[in-house]
Amino acid sequence: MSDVNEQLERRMIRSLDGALTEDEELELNRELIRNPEAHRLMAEYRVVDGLAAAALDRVVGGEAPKLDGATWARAVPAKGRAWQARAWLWLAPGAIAAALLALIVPRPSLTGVGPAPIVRGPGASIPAGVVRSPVSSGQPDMMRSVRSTPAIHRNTGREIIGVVGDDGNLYWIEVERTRTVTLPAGTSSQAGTDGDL
Amino acid sequence: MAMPLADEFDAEELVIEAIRGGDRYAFEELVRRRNRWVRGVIFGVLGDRECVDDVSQQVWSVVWQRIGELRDSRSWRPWLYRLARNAAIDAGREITRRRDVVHPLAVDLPERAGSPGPDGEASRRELHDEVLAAIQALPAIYREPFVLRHVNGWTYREIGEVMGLPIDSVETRLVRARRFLRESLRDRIG
Repeated sequence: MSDVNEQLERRMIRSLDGALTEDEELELNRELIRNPEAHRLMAEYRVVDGLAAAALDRVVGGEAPKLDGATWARAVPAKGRAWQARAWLWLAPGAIAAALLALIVPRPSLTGVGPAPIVRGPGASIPAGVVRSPVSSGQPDMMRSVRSTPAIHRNTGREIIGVVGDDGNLYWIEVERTRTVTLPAGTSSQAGTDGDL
Repeated sequence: MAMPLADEFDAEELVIEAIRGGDRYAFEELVRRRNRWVRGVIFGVLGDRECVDDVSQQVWSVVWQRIGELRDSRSWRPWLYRLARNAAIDAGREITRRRDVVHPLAVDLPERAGSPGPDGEASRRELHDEVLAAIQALPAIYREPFVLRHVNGWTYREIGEVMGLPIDSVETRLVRARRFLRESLRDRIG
């Protein structure tokens, strides 16, 4: 019959692992002095642990690996990646709000918008219903229309446009649009329309 | 299971935080400080020293790429343990598959000294090979806590936390691992 029971053997292992309290350690040492077989077993376990530690050191003591360029390049900062993954959560409402604003805010008609000057130069096209005037055209055309003086009106309006930028931010752009309407005298609707941003 | 661990590991939290912000130097520091740790986990699970280099390389690549998934820096240790453990398990499956296909009769043999060298060095290598072969032959459930304890000096509680075991079970496994090794190395220690 062995003089080392299960409980004693467990205490030996716990001692090797530094898991005994000071009092338990003292008690174990007293037991080892009294019990030669336990003393021998403890010595063997110490040898086993020493051999294992030395052998394992050869396995785990390798050089720290270096990541290659591809791995560095593949990975992006983790927080940034997480942020990008969740960005749609708050970008989406912003984009929807921008779209709604674009629908709600009245915009001047874009019909007929073009880069035409207020005072037309020679050769410029003349909108239908407008009679060329020597005063405005400078041409030797002596015909004078009854509505010889054109009326010029400017209407200015503002638009707010929401744009999602490349960086994921939502930008509000305020656009001032001026519409210029040239009306021959006595004419109410036939007009050339100039638009400037 | 992810939970804050012992205070002694808190110093690592700052490093982890820096890595999460994309700091490569902090990452290299973590690799330098914890490479033994990761290699120990891999060897403990796999029991194959030939694969430790490759698998640890894979683990660190994955750590860099997936550290954003670590929600709490204090939980870095169970998180890293799981990454290393899963990588080792995957590697083990691959090794088994290749052996089955290519070398059905292949067995692990202790590494032999490459060069004769001094007698002392050669005999020490031979002894280490024999001990490693005995550790590799341990059932995985005993080998893993045994290696964690010896390589990383973890307490029973720390081992239990990452392995999901009560402390008593950790102790039992460590006792049985020692018994097994003592039997395997009887000729050396007798």
